[in-house]
Amino acid sequence: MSEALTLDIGEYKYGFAFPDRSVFKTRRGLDEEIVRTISQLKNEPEWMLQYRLKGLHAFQRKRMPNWGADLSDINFDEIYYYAKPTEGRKERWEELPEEIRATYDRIGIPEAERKFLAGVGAQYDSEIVYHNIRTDLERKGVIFCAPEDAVRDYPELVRKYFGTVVPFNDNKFAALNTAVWSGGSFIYVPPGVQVEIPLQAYFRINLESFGQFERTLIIADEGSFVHYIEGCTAPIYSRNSLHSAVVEILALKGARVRYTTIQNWSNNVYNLVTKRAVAYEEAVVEWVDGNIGSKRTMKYPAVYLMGPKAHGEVLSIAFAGKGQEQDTGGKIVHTASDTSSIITSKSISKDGGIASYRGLIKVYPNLTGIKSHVVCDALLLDPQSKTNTYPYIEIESEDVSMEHEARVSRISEEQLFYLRSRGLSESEASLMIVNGFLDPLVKQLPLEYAVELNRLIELEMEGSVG
Amino acid sequence: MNKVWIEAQEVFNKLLWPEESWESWRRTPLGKVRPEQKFQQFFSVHKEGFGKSSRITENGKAREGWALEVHRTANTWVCYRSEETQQVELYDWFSNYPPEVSRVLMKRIQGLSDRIQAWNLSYPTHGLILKIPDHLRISSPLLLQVEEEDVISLPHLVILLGKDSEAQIVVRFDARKTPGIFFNGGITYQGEENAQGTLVVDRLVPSESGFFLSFEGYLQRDASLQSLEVHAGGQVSKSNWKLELEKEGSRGDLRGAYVATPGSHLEMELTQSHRSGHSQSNSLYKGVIASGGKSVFQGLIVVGEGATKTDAYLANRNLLLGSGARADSIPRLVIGNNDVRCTHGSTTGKLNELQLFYLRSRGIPYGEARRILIEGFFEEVISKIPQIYQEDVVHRIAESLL
Repeated sequence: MSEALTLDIGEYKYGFAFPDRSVFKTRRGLDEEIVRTISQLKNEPEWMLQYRLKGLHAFQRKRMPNWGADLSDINFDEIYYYAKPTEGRKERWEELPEEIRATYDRIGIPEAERKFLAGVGAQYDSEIVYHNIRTDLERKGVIFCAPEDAVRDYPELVRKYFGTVVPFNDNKFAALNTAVWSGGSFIYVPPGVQVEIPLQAYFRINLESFGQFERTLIIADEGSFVHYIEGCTAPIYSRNSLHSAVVEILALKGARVRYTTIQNWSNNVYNLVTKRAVAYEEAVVEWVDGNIGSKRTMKYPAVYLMGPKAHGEVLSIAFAGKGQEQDTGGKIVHTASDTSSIITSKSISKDGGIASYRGLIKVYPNLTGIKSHVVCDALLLDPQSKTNTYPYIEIESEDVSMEHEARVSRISEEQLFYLRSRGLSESEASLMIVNGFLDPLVKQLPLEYAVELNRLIELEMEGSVG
Repeated sequence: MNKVWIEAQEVFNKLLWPEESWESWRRTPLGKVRPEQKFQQFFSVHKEGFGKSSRITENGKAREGWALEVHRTANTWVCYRSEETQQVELYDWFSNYPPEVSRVLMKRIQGLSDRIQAWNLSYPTHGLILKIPDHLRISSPLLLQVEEEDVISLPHLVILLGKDSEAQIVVRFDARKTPGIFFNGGITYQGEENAQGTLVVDRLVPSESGFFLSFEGYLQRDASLQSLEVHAGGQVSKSNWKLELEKEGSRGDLRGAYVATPGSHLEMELTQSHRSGHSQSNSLYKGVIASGGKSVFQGLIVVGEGATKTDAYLANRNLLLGSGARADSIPRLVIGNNDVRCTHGSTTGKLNELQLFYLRSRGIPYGEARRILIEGFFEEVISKIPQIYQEDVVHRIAESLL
């Protein structure tokens, strides 16, 4: 392994932070006044405020989940729920404050944009600070903007779809998001339009004890295609931050949506996200979900197959290192005939980390021609690490072909021996085996991300002996 | 009262009745069986007469093909033996049994986390202890046939296999004569060093019934257990089958055959718990779900932190017959160390159309062809049980699907 790499051992390279220069920040904790303040700051119409308040009441009423990762450390009264980093939103990179620009430079956004993106949004704490989309796409009627702008500029679209896929009272964290959401993306792709190159958003938390609650709504109209990519990072603080997003996707007849996440939060972030899509007739929804960072993640991207011949796919990669718990998976609900689904999950646990797969395949009654395939592979790199598999399979139709399999393994002595006999060091051999284990998923990522992911795994693997 | 019952009652008093909001109970229609009310009803009758022992009477030779038969009717255990089983020890639950039985029961009781199971151990209505002495290897199977006559029936069986012993045991709970029965049975099994056991548990219940069964087995060094549970019919049925592989070299091969008939809810929980290294477990649960029936299979492989070189496999196969059949399958893994090989698989599908067509093209009527395919489906799960009982199981499955 090269000299440069060994210098980086164990370091989270996005752990830097700049001082708090927010232009406005609500006080710690959450109540009705704070929700009203956020809504007022955003100049929202009354219906959105009322919807937020419904979310707040549901949040206060709902209990914490009694399953999954340990969330007992979260103190909802300690958190800042809203912080505005700048006045207004910029479309030119140069107009952003120096520190924010430096942050994104270090994460590498403008570079990515120049290279291969059709549109970029960047969120810093609560607000989208930068936004841009290629003009040719804009001319075709593609909308890619902050959801606040969508509420103002496209109220009929937002009112029609907002909260229809993930209702305000879906779960405690979706309710919280509904109450205090800020930032995120709104995407509308008109019928038949193919957005060939991906749209991208970058989410960054800068403050300590902060809660980021972005809200993303993607509507792919009939026969259209869009690929959306998001990346997430945060600084390392002693106190925990909370990231609780809601993502709603509607793939109308014949549309295809691909949603890729590479989550690399620092190890003090609770990442509790509700992601759900509905796929109508012949539509395809694919989630590619990479979870590398965070302290605890609970995230189960879901696809509801609502029309005949719809297809849903979840590809999930999780890496649980020291002190981390990755509780991830996928959910597919078949509500129409001739629908198919695939869930592929690969997890790696190391240094006492816990990786859990939790998933659901549900088939409604009186359907025919249903096919579903679920594979979960777990790799344990040392004796202290743990892995769990909790697949839920609920089938109410007869004409179903459902297969589920799971495997737990470690790096085998034979594989290591083989590679070492070819002159590789033990750590190189381990890395090669891990990369081979993830290969089927990494292939699904756009090139830049695949390279990035490989590099992240390489860093996480530093110093480990299979 | 002996100390086992006192301990069991203490544990029972600490636990809560299950609620549908609990993860392991949320699929169970508790409203249809109401265990809590059944307990009130039971307690008001039994608080006086609790603790009456049953007689054990010896009654000559066992039938051809069986090494030992015990039939329970009208508060008596009637026992038929062959030459092979003269030394097999039998004790009534309410009599003075040997201390090793208490030790196993105490272990079971201390691990209780479910109030329905705790009820069975605290207030059983009848129970039998079967002990195979060390080094005794019995070639023919043993039959324990328990006729259930009470409307609320709580049998508990303890089966101990001594060192280097070998036995095949068939337990058959027969409640056909008691419509509306609430059955809450328990079995505790211990296999000492190198004991090789085979256990079949079968039950015959009327269509109106609530059925709970909990099995817990402990395997010592190099012990093995081959088990089959058969569930067909009944209204609401929930079984917990748990094997603790306590010591190195222990092996479990756990199988299940079930049929969810129209209107029935059939639930099975299976736990393969590896607590020591070099242990192996394998499970295969196969079920047929008829139109209007529902099955829930929750399997779990747990591997403890020190249980290295564990090899565990869990499989569930469901066959759905007709629309309105519902099968839930939840095969879980909880793995605490990295030197293991653990896999599971679950499939759900329908009868193979091509195979049906093939049989019908040979002149076999539809119903018959279906029966042949279903029998073939169950073949691999029942192949390892005593041959003398295989036909009974096949017959029960066919009968329940008529």
